Amino acid sequence: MKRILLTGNGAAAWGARLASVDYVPAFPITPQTEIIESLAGWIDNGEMEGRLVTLESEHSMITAAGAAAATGVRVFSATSSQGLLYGMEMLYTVAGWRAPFVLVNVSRGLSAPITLEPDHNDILAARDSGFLQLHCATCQEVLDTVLLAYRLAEDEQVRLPVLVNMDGFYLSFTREPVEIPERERVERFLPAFEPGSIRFRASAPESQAVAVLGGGPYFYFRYQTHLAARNALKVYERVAEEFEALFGRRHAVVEAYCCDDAEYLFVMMGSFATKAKAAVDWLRSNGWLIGLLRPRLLRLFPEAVFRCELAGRRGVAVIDQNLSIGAGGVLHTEVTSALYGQPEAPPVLASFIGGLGGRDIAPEEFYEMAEVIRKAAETGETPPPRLLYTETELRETRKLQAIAQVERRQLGEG
Amino acid sequence: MGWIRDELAHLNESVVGKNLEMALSAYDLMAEHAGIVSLTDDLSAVGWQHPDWIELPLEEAGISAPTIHAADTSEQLKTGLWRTMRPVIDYERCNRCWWVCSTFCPDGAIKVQEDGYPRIDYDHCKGCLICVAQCPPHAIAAIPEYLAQEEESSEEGV
Repeated sequence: MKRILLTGNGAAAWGARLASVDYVPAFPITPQTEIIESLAGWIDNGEMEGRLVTLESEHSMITAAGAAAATGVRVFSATSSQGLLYGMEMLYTVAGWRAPFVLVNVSRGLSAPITLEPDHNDILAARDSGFLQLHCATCQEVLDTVLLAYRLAEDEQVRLPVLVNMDGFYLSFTREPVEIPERERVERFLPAFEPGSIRFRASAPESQAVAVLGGGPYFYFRYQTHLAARNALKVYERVAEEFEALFGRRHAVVEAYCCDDAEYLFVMMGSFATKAKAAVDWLRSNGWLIGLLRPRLLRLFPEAVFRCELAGRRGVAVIDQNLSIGAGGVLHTEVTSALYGQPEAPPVLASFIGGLGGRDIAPEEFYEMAEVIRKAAETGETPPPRLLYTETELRETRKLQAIAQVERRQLGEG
Repeated sequence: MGWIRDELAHLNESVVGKNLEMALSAYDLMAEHAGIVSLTDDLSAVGWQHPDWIELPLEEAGISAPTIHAADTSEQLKTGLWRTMRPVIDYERCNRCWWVCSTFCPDGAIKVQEDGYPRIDYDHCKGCLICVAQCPPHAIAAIPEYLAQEEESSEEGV
């Protein structure tokens, strides 16, 4: 087995290469571009078969991806942030076509103000699109998840596109040791795409752009897409088991770290969850009974796993690296709704908003969050949402604001 | 009738007149139904007929994807109505290559006839003008659709 140092982007590209993808429609955007560059390089020097085409926008890129997948070839693409949103119309459309392919999103905060560093508002904007969503925390997981995602997407009982998410910079540009599985073994896990009922051929026209009126047919098709997404849970579990048997790595629907005896839990997704993991270790060495739950599968939403894993805990801290403007943390909302009316739901389910725009979450902030939920558990009262934002940060921002005002005045007088 | 006049005030008198005429004839059509349209009672919230709701079963994508596995689905529907520019073939310049315009047409609205000349199906041509851009001898011109239609109606008038 080959184990080399790879960035998250490199791992995603290796996933596509090992999946022997036929077609890669591409458009560059930071921090995703390295994925496309790697694939372009391999195709150019003959290390990889397949065709890579640069499109004029993400809207066209996702259209091309969906159209190609609807002809029964294996398709891969990647984007980030503004690009994902620019293609948003087509995300819903190609999912409605039931076109199976894999799209890697390298998370990056959304404009305005524009930034390059990560949070999850981009990927969560695609939450209701019909794409399944898998969230990764390590470079190895990125490679493995791309392979798993094809099995999930192409399954006759699912047939939906899949978004594989990683955090920009923190994962996309961080090198970690990654095991690159042997091609023969990958082919056993993921044989060539068997398109089944997808039967588009030259001279046999098909139409995906179907119009329906009156609600009844529309309702049927949308709800079938929903049922297919719901069905992906058992397909995922089966595929992940096969993956573990072949490659020895387990990628559960929801990763439960040190949860067995835990009275308190952190809940968060993506690469920042590895920071929570480290915090769990340090807290445990100081006598805390605390663990981490990290959903890998966010769509479909595995509410049954949450109900089961959260039952009987004293306090839970949901840490959202996103902000639904006017509401709060998206993951907190989803976890809360999964627990409504459950007899053993934890009495304290606190919301923390942190890590927007790549803002780091420090170990002491994890300790403090643990402290907050422990104190809250004593009274049984969930505290209001807490923003992880410090006095020092506000001071730094004030400096920028002061500079901006000077510039504005100068421009006004000029 | 006053509000029809108000709403169409910016249009010329003959258009307003035609609209008034249509409205009146539609009104007159209802004359024979006078007095037979009545209000129903509000539906009682006691003893109503239960809707036959079902649990929609999951069906494989081969059935449940919204795909039409057939061609010519718009044969009877004229989808070329929104065209603003019309491609017109100058058959003097067409060199009967037989494939360029018809292949590039994204809508399959150009067919090559037996004599080797292409013919544009204006019922379905959207006026994207890709054929104009692609034709090697520049034998396809783009003219504004309204001019083409004016020309057609004056020809019909002759």
